[in-house]
This record gives sequence, structure tokens and C-alpha cells, in this order.
Amino acid sequence: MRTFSLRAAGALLLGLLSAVCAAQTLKIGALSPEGSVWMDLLREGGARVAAETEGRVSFKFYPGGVMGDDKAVLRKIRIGQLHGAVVTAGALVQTYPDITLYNLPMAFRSGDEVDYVRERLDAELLAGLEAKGFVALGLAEVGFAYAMTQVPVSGVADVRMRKVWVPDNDPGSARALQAFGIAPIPLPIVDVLGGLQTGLIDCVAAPPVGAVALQWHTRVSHVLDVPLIYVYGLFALDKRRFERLSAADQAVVRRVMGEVVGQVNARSRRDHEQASAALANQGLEWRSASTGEMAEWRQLADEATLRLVEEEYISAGLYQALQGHLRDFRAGRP
Amino acid sequence: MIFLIARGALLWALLAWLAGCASLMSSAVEDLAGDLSAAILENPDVDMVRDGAPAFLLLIDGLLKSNPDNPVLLSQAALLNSAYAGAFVADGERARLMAAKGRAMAERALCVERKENCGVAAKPFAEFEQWTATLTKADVPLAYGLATAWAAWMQANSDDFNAIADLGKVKLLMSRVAELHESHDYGGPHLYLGVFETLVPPALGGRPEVGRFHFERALALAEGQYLLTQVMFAEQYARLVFDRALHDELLNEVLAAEVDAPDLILLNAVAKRRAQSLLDTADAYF
Repeated sequence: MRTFSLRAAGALLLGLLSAVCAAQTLKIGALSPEGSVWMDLLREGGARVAAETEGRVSFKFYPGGVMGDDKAVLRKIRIGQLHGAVVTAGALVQTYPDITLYNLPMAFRSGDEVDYVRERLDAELLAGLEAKGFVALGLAEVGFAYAMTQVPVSGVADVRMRKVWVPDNDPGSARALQAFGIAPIPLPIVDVLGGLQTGLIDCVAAPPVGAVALQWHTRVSHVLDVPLIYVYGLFALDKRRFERLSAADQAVVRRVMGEVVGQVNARSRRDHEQASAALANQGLEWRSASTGEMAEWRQLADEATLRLVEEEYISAGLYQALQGHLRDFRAGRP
Repeated sequence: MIFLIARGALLWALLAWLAGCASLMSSAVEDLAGDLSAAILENPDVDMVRDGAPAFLLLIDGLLKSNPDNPVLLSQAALLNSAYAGAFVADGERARLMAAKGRAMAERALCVERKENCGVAAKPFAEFEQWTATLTKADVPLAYGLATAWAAWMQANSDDFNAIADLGKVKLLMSRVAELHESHDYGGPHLYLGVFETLVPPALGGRPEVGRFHFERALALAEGQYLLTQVMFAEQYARLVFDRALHDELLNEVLAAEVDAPDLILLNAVAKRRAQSLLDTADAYF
């Protein structure tokens, strides 16, 4: 009797253990704050995955940069403390430089161009990243970054005279600005609003959603209507960890979380337009560059891009594919 | 005795009505609105208030019809519309409408008080900043009323960047109120500032430690009477910085608290509910 109950207890315990081992919790770090669209949709997706896999796969999210910045999050993924992250494309530049293809200076002139190209190239970029150890469930737009200043600017020379901010941990953006002959001032993001107030800086390049969310718009008066850089993020999972899931569960994660990223991406375009309008509603003046000024911006951007390709920072094949699609699009709509 | 006083008050109101004396009339209306607001705020039955308050909101609309320029009535109405929208209205569109109404009433209350206050909310940031500097301690109740109604409006429109863009102004106005009279509404100005400073994580430029300072100041000023202070401290700050120990400690303190400030009975009942639901979801969050 006693032996029997012990054996029964042992079996029960083993059963419990195997159930625990079979259940996988994927820990995800994100910079997005709790309550943001990203986090709300991710949590919803996580709950759907848990339900559809009958609890075999669940997600635990660490929002608001509580796991550190992009670099720290990637380090934690390498040592297995985290299993995935929501990051900007630039964060993965060391792993797979081509993931920043769409970040090339002034690569796109409009959201329509972005849509046309992304429809044709996203899959290739994601496959490239997967070969380097990250399963990315789609790219999600943030929007174009524009120069915002305290005095009207339109030409490259005007902006060179400004004190332009660049994030202190972002050599990529610094390099992009230097391509235009701008010597940026590196500051941590937390000091930007204060810096604008004291005059330490008087120009920021930022997507409207960022400028509004962080209230930078209260300290600038003009926006230059030149889309300098296309900003986007992605939700990437550590491939080693992902492959420990059963094929069926992998498919569920890909489908559900792919939908989540798609929803964020669709929402972002609307938010970008709304935030751009909000800047105008708040009294900021959107100013266009003249044809000549625009030509100079584009020429400098093209030169910088070619250098990046020559230095094999971006692979030539992908760059040519990007250019080819842009040519097709522009030819279709002169 | 109570009956006599009540009859006396009624007689007074009737006489004033008959005499058509505007000032007497409006003060009776203010009293009525004030008493009814107090009755709501002193009710511990959250569900009853949720179901019953709309009738009162309609009544106050009616009173405003004949007293459209009464700042006291306007600010009462603003407070109740904003608070009700934020606390009880689940339907997004209805919440937005009510919050917009509350905000408009709060703006109007300031405007009828002093014509320099008219239209300030829509002014460019620099002009708005100059205006806040002109406020004095006497303006605190109406200025605080606008800041809170505006914040409620932003919350109801939190997916609209036109609303998010106003945060800088609301924060500035609330800072000015805190400067003028920090213990107003049980330290409410610091409570709001604590929330504003914990909306953005540090990695994106937020300053949660500044938020913590405001929450702690609000706690000191509320002297343990206003339980929403602990709840917001836990929900906004402790969750943002992943401090589970602080989170649970604050919320358990709320659940154990026995406080008796009459005008906080309803809000403290709401706070206890919220504390329980935050504790219930803590394992999943942390």
C-alpha cells in the first residue's frame, strides 16, 4: 500500500515535471512602454498563442526597456536570459547589416514607395536575418524622421548651421548626418527636451510620433518637409530557442505574432499621419525645400548611400534590388 | 430639526426664485450641486454610483442651462463628467464625448472668472507658459480643475496624437498648481505629476525617479487618506521599474487601510478595487 502510494506520487511528480518541461515561456524584452499599441497587441497575441498551443507556448514581456537598451537586450538574448525582443532595425546591424537597408538616407520619398518596395523585399530581408539566427515575425513601421528646428530651415546649408542632436548611442545616425556635412551633438535621449530649452541643441531629426510623445514639439517651431530616413522596428526571436518548439507550435507563433506585427505596422502609418498633423495643429510650420535645395539633399544622400555600398555595409545585390523597385514605381507614376 | 432646516432652505430657494435674484439663485444652485456632488463622493457603493450618477449629470446640465456662467457649477460639472468618463464609461466614443464636455466646462469656468483665461488651452506653448506664470493661489481650484479635466480628456483620447501633443501643457499647468498650492486636493497636483513623469520609460527619455519624488510627496501630503495615491504609485512607477516588492507593499497597504475622510469614500472604494485587480495580475506582469 505504502509502496503503491509512493509510486503513484512519483508518477504524478514525473508527470508534472514533464508538463513543466514541455511548456515553453518565451521571454521578450521591449522598449515600448506598457499601454502602448505594441505592448497591448503583443500581450493579446501572447494570450492567443497560449490558447492555441494549449499552454505549451506562452510569452512573458518585459516592457519599457526594463531589460536595458537594445544592446543589453541583445546581450541577454545571447546568454539565453531573454528569447526575443522588439527593437529598431539598427539594433541588429551587427548581426545582419542588411536589415537596415530601408534606413539608407532619403531612400524613399513617400509612404507609397515604402509600401511598394517592402511588399517585394521584406521577405528577403527576413530570410537573411533568419539565416543569422533571428526569426523575425515581420517589420513594423515607425515613420519618416524629419528635421525639426527653432528657426526656419530648408537647404542643407541652413541645417549645417544648426546644433543638431544625435542619440549618444547611435553611430549609424551620426554617420547619416555626417553624410550631409552636419556635425551632430551627441546627447542621451533624456536630455533632449532640456537641451532644446537651454539652447544646447536647436535641431532634432525625429519621426513625428516620437517628437509628439516626448513633447519635443513644445520646444521647436519648424519642420522641414524632407523625409530624411525611414525608421522601423521588428519583433525578433532567438532561432535556437524557437526551434525547440514543435513544428506545429512554431507555425502558430509565426502566424499569430506575424499578424500582431502586421497590425502594428498598419496602425503606425495612421499614427504617423496623425502626429504629423498634430505638429501643425500645435502651431509648428511645415516648410518645403525648393527644387534646387531638394536636389542637393538627394545628391548628398545618394553619395552617402553609394559609400555605404562600396564599404559593403549594405550588400550591393539588395541595394540594386531596392533601386530597381524604386525605378519601377517612379516610372509607373511619373 | 433637520426637516426644519431643509424646509428653511427650500423656502429660501423659493423666495430667491420668486424674487428673481440672480446671485441668491446661483448660490442656492451651487449649494445643491455641491451637496449632490458630496453625496456621490461619500457613497461607498461604487456600482450604485456608476448606475446612478448619469441622472445627476443630466440634472447638473439642466442647472447649467439657466446658470451658464456660474464658475462653481461649471467646475463641479467638469469634474464629474471627466471623472465619470474615466472611471465608468467603457465605450470609447461615449467616454471621449463626456471627457470633451468636461474639458470644455473646465475651460469655460476659468474663462468666466477672468477674460485673460479665455482660449488659453489652444494657445501656442510659449504663450501658454506665460499665462501659467500669471496664475495666483486664488486661481488654484479652477486651474487644477482644468488640468485634471484636460488630463482625463487626454486619457480618453490616448490613441490620438493631437491629444498626446497637449501633455506638455497639462504638465506645465499642473506644475504651476503644485507650486502655488501643493496640498490642494490631498496632494493631487503631485499625484498627477507622478503619473505624467512615469508615462515614458527611461530608455525612451522618461524620468521615473522624478515621478517617484512626486508620488512620495503626494503620499506625505495625503497623510494616508487618499488611497489612489498608493495605487497610482504602484501601477505607474513600481510596474515601470519592475519593483515587485514596492508594488505589493503599496497595494497591500491600500487593502488593509481603514480611512474615513468622507469626501474620499467613493474614490477610496475605487482604489481598493483597483489595488486588488493589480495584485491579481501581478504574477503575470512581473
